Amino acid sequence: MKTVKSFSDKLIANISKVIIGKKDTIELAVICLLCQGHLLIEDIPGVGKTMLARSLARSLGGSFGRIQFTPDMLPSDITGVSIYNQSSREFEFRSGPIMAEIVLADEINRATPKTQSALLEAMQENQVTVDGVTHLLPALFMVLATQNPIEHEGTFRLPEAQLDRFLMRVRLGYPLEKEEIEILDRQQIQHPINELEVVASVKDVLSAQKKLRSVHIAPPVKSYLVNLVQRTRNHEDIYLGASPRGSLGLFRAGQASAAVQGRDYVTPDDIKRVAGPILGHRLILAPGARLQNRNEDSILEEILENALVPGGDIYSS
Amino acid sequence: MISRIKSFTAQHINRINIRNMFLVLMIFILIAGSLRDSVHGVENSLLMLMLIGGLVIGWIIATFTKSNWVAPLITLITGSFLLTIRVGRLGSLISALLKQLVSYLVQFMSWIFQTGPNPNPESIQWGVIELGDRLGILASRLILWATNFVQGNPQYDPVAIAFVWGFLFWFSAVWAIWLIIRYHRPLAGILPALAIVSTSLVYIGKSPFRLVPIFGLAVGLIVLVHHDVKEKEWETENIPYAGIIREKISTTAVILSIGLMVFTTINPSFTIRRIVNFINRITAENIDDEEIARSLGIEPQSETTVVDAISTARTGGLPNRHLIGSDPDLSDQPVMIIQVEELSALESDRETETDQTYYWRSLTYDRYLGSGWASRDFVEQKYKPGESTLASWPESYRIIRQKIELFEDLGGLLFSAGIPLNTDHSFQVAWRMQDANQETYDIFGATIKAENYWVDSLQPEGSKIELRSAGQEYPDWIRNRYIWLPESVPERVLALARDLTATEPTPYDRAVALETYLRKFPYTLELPQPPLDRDITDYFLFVAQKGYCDYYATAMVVLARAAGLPARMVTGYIGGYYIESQDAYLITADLAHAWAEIYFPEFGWIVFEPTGGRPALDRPSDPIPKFSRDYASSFDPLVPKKEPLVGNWTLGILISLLLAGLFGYFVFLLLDFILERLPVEKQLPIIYKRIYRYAHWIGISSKPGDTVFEFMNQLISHTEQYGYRSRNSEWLFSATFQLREITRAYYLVLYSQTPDQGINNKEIALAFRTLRFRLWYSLLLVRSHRYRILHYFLWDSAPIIVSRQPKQTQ
Repeated sequence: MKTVKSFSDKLIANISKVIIGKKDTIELAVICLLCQGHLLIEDIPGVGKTMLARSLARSLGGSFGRIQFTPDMLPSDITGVSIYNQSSREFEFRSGPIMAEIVLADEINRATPKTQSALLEAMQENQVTVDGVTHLLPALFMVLATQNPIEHEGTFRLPEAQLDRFLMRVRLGYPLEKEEIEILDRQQIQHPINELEVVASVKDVLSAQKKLRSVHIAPPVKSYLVNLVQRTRNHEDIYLGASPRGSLGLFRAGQASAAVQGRDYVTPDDIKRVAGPILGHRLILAPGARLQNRNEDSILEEILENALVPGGDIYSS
Repeated sequence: MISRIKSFTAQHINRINIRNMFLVLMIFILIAGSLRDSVHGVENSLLMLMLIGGLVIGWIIATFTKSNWVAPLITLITGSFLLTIRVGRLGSLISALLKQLVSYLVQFMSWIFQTGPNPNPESIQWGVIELGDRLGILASRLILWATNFVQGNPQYDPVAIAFVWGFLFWFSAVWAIWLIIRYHRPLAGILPALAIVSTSLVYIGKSPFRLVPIFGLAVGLIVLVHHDVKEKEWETENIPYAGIIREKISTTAVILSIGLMVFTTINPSFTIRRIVNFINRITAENIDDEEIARSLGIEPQSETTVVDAISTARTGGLPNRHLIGSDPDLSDQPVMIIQVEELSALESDRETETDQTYYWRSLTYDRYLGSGWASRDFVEQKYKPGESTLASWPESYRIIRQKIELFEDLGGLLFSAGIPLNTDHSFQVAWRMQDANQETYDIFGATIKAENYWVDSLQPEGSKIELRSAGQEYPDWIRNRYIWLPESVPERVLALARDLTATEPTPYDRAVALETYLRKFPYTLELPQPPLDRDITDYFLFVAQKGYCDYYATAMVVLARAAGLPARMVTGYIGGYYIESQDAYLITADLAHAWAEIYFPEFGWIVFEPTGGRPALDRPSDPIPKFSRDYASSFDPLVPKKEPLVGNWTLGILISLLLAGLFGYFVFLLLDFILERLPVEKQLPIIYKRIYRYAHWIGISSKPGDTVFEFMNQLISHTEQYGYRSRNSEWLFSATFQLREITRAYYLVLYSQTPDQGINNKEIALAFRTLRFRLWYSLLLVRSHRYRILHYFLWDSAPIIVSRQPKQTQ
């Protein structure tokens, strides 16, 4: 797993030149990349969501597509459209912004459900069908979608069931004072993204993705993560818990987390680290919980505290 | 002429002066009273002489001298003169000398006028020489005392005490008169006397109530003298004043003085002594006030209660009280028969054994009670047959072997001529003091459970010449015990001792002087019971003036102690009737005897015989050759004694604790040994369980959802918190390295496919052992953090419990 580690280290270091601080979030993004999953960034405007996607794309030398969602957007704006070419008298397919390796879907909650579903379908199928013709999406395909939690007017919040498509949900948040000052320093002359170099190729990504599947996960750890997921289903404050997709995601992300640290075995620490991002958006809170001001994060924390970790049976005796 | 005398008397011998002198006299009489109580060795007659003489001389120099430097000179000369005559008992000598001088002059006159024979100056010469001798002895005694005092080696010398205190008293009397009569400054005049008496009272810790009447009188005197001075001032400056002031002031002064004196009589100093004497008088019992004081916690509890525990019964134990006045046994019933063999090399010119008077001692006493004798605390030590009590002794000790056969039960006491060294049965010795460094020993007595026994003993001896040169370097414990006398001993006894020995040059001569004095008293066995509250010695010396051995011995010891010689009382038997056929001494009951022994440095306790009628001790004049100290007991023990198996309980407990500790340690090592040999998969859960237990003791609690790594971080941060700025913090923090190593290994074991990635069970065991010490130290830090007093020892500076985020490094 050393190659995976070095790869991810390079990537993270590179992206950190643009996104100051927030190393954990960048690492989670990289993990998501390695898991072939899609990332949902739920955050306030102006904290660097676009920069993250762009720097990720640039670091990999991959193509970057950007979709800015508006309420009057049509699915064809996403997928692409066939245009009649007057001169050649044929319908040509002009690919939409989704035909890129790294796609930034900004403010996904502003689009109409129809448009949303087009995106989600593409994310799921890894292909788009326009006028009966199927176009495959690139081998490396990752969507970074953003959602603004503040605005409620004029938005179509993504239904929780559909949020399941995203592997992880992360939040960036405001930078610290030191970091903010550093941002000002770095962007004084020009934006660092303009100087960002390519540190890895798409091929590296693909091979890393393959490699991490061989990370060993011991049976106790497997039962631990399944136990976690099951607890989300049984918790009194949760109406609907995580699905097996969640377990799978947790599984894959655990492997990726171990691989990124250079280990070839998954530890419960890995699981605990990714549990929040992986499971948080998959939970539907019971009505009573919202009234008591409990959110998914606190419930997940509670679950994590109480679920017995393998190897931690020393505590109980 | 007459008018001059008249004016002189009017000026100097007037009412005011007489009144002042009277007050000073009263004050000084009171001061003399308290001085007499606090200082041992100054009696009333001496103090009164000094007082009267001092007042007279003071008045003379205050009235007649013109210049100021003459006064101290006259004071010094007259004071020393008076003291020398009084203390050295030179009065009679000087008067005899004067008579001889007068007769010589008469003879001389008659010789000049050719009516008589040639005058003979010889007697005068002898008188002068003797006077010079005596003065010389007195002077040398004073000088010796002074040098010893200055060198920090204080010595008890009654002559020096009388001199010093007498002179101080004299001086303060003269000073008082001088200042009051001449300078009209009563306060300054009284001050030295008050200082002397207060310091002496404070030093012996008596109640300061005694000072109150003195203060009363002093206040009266001061007030009156000051008023006189004022009046004179007013008269010379022609200030009119009312004569009634004098009246009022005098009345106030008198009332104040009387009031203070009455106050003290109503509220006397309640010493324990007074209470006990009061009780004694009521109940007519002879209670030892000192013991009562001790039982009330007044005196320091340095003496053990062994003295009280052993009763005065004569069965089985050693009687430690010897009351004088009980009728001595008169019968001539044989009590024992003793065969004697001298083991030391004999000189040819020593007397044969038949001429020796043996003193068979049983018990010695060191504490005088006024009504009798008691012994201080002692330690009983058992001896096996053939086991010697002493390892070495001075060369002047004579070794005597005795074979004793008892006819009557004498209470189990062991009799021997001198210090019992060795017997052929098991015996018990009560030691008061064993001082091997000085080769001096003090035994209370010994007991033996046998009717026939051999005993080897050591008899201290000395010739006149050697004892004379023995010196006065007494060991401290001798000084503390054997010169001490209780306060109940009347002053005249002390004065007598001092006077008898004042002009004797050496301690030996002093002892002989006392012995000679006492031997003059007639011996009688018919003596009524002495009064209970009376000091026995005083009664014997001044009232009865006759008695039997107990009285003589007691008086000898008391007088010797008062004269500064360490002495003790010894009881036993004397002499015996020599039976030629058996070559043994037959001892009868009427040979029970008591005598005195006096301590001479390097010679030990030497016997003195003060009893009138008993043969005087014949000490050789020339030095006796020293006896060799080769000695080996050669009598076989009759019955071998079995020693108990476990002598010492405390030792046994300590040893078993030590063994238990060693056993525990071995078990500990064994567990470690097993741990090292286990495979890693089994090792690590055990190790981690133990680490968790330590963490739990340290105070880290874990939730079930904590991973091992999170737990380790908690432990590390907790240790860092408490170990921050502790004394061995670097050593402590190196624990993190071992902890991480163990955790990594544990993780591999738990989660990885290939757990044997380079982890060695020996390394893990070693890491754990290294870690363990640091965990214990961390436990110590955490537990002791509560106690501020330990902060100094364990932390360089005040520990700050910094709550920091645990570092999430891996």
